[in-house]
Amino acid sequence: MTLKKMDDIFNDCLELIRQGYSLDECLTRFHEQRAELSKLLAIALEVKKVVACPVDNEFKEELKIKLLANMAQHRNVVRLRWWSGLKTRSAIAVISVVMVISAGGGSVAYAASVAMPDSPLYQIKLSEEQLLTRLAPSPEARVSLVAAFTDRRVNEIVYLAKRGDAIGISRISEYLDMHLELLASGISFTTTNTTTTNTQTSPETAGVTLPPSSVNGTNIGESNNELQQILSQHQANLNSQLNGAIVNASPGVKTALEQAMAAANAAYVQAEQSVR
Amino acid sequence: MVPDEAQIIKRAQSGESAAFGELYEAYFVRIFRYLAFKVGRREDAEDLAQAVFIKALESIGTYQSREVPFSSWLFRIAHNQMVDLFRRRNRRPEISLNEEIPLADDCADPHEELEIKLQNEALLAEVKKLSAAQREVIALRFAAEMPIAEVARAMNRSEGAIKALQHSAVASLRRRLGGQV
Repeated sequence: MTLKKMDDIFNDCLELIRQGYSLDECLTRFHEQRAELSKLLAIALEVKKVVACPVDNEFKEELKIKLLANMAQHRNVVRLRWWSGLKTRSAIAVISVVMVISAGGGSVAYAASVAMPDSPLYQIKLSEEQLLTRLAPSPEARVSLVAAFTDRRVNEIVYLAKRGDAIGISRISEYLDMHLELLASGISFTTTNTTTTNTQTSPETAGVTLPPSSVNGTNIGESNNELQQILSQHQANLNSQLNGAIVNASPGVKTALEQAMAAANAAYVQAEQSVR
Repeated sequence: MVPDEAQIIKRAQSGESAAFGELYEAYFVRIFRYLAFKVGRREDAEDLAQAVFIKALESIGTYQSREVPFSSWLFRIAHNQMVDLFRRRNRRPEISLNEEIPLADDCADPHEELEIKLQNEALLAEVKKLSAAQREVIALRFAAEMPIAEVARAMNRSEGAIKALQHSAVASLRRRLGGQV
């Protein structure tokens, strides 16, 4: 038996154990090296146990929520660029504001954008969202942004559910409902104004003059289909995430989650009716 | 390797957060344990794991599977984050993959029975005495659960050399620990 061969046998055994074979099954397979292998494997399994530092699952889940919320935000910014089409001047205005915010405190702006409701930076996040919503270059872009913010609220509700914060869930649920109302009114606006420049404002965007709803070169029927798809995706995401959070929730949190879900689904129905 | 990993990576690259979530679930524990083994403190390992996945999220669009396996790419980020941490603290201005770094002392389960804890400490003390290359193999194979081929790639050695290092490391521990384990 060469030393090299023993290297291979030892490694093969480790692989078999990793795949779920028992120590005995492995030793039986290499019965000629049983004595040597059993001592090596005993040490190897002990090392494996010692280096398996226990993971703090709460930390792991919180980090995941923050990462995915950040990714969803990025994805919707990409969508916004596509949707806003040729409205370059308005788009430049939004980019300028974002750049000013970033230049004035890039790391704070980033930290705020991923802040959860229990963070001191959370109010900055909400203010930043309001500003971006007001400066959206078109009603369609505004709808897209608000839809992205509904995803953020859903992630925050899931985060609070993991922390057992039923009161926090109710508070964020109210924000979520406000977004969904804004979504419905924004959609209603984009689908009923197709031909003329319009200066009408929704209550939530009072003081902001909205441009005409028809996006340059975009057929309104296609636009409605797109809106319906986006709404369905966001609603499915909401139900999937909140249903997932309900599974291990305490009774108080469960009730808060169910109320949040019922209110949000009702608002989605209203928004979808606006599209039709 | 996660089943259908290439497809999941493509979905994550196109901005699908659920796909990135799948990669996170597949790799978080392995990355965290690797870092905990290398840096020795749970808090540092958690901070570094967070930095690793933020960096991965920022850079996944530039990842190309034909150049390097995803796990090697991710563990390279982990290694770079660790080097940055040590640089910031001025503890070690330069660290190569094979250089000596402290071992995890601070991640033992506090509810562990005393006898087991002492046994673990004895084992870790002996692991610290292994060569740097042997320790790196232990970190990547046992803490990070990386396949031999990927460890070989990460350490720029042949698979045969990694198997030899793995065998010699464990044989050395057996000799030193005798009947303790």
